[in-house]
Amino acid sequence: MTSEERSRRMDTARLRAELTVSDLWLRYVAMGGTGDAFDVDGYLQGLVPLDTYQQDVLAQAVNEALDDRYRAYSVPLSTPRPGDAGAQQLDRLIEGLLGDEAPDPWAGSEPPCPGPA
Amino acid sequence: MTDPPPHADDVPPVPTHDPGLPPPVDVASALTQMAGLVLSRETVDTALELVTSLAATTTAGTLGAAVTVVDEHGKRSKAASNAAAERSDALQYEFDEGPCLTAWRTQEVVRIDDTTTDGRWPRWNEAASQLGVRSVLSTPLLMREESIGAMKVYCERPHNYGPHDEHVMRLLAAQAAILLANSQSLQEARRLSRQLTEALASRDAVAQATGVLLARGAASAQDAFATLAAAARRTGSPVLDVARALVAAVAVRNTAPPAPDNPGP
Repeated sequence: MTSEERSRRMDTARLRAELTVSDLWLRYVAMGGTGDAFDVDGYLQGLVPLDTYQQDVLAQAVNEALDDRYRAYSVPLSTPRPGDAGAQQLDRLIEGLLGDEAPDPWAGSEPPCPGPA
Repeated sequence: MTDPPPHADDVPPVPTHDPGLPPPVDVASALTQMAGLVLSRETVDTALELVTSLAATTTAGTLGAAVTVVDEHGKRSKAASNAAAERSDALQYEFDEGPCLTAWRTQEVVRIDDTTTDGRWPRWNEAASQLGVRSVLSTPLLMREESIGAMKVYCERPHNYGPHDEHVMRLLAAQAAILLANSQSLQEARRLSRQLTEALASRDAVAQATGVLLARGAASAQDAFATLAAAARRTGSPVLDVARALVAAVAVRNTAPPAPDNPGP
């Protein structure tokens, strides 16, 4: 994906998640983003470049906002699944991350994004 | 205005979300200053009551006066001078019709000379006349181009209000609008302060988790973030939850007694 495509998709996703630019900026800052609101606004409009690290943080912020939006619309099942499978999986994953042996918690996941361009 | 300047203690303490993290920075006072000279809500309410009682006494024959506020929280009344005014307002919100809602929507002064003959808001007119309200004068509250509510006076006699009362109400409504806009910017400052405080707490957790991963051999902060994001994606949880769980797990490991097969000195 070219950088331009990426910024356009992020802005589309932002609209889809019903976020203003400043809402998204706040989520991005909460996740460790270091750009100011002007940087983010400019990037979403394809005017200002953002380094890949900051792009990743912004992408994660907009993705989580989309998840929240869809979760708000989703319909619960009549009988919820017993236990909290997500929490258990998270615990296992963290065990893997902190394990002394070289952890391979990523089997089957997409490869981590490449380093800075 | 001789109100004292706002103090930080006007702002209620913001609860922290994770007792394991350092207390978040209090940005409330800085934001309050950013929002300009902001009156406390108590001061605004008192001043609004003064304006409505002024409206009630300067428009002859008035039974009650109140202010309707319309914002993202809905429609409600403030500073009602008596129960009849409050009840008449509540009926407008219930029916979603009435002179004050029309004044708010059209940004124009609305006058009802007699609720028993006026046909514009049939449901409300009928209910209001049963409450003893016969004539109404309602003025929109305008802040720049935006309508933020209406101020109204009610009277138990028909044909009570004329052009002079309209003039007085316009002047008083301008004052009420300034007061209301002031209290809205205070609420905005509080909301922003709460959001920023939460964002900072979240950012602390992500930064700590990034540090943990760096200490465990992550190549860079970007690499550490990618690890957190991948874990979040795989478990369907937010990066913040992963970060907090990771920091908590490290703390548990550091305080746990050494394992028997790995004896300490």
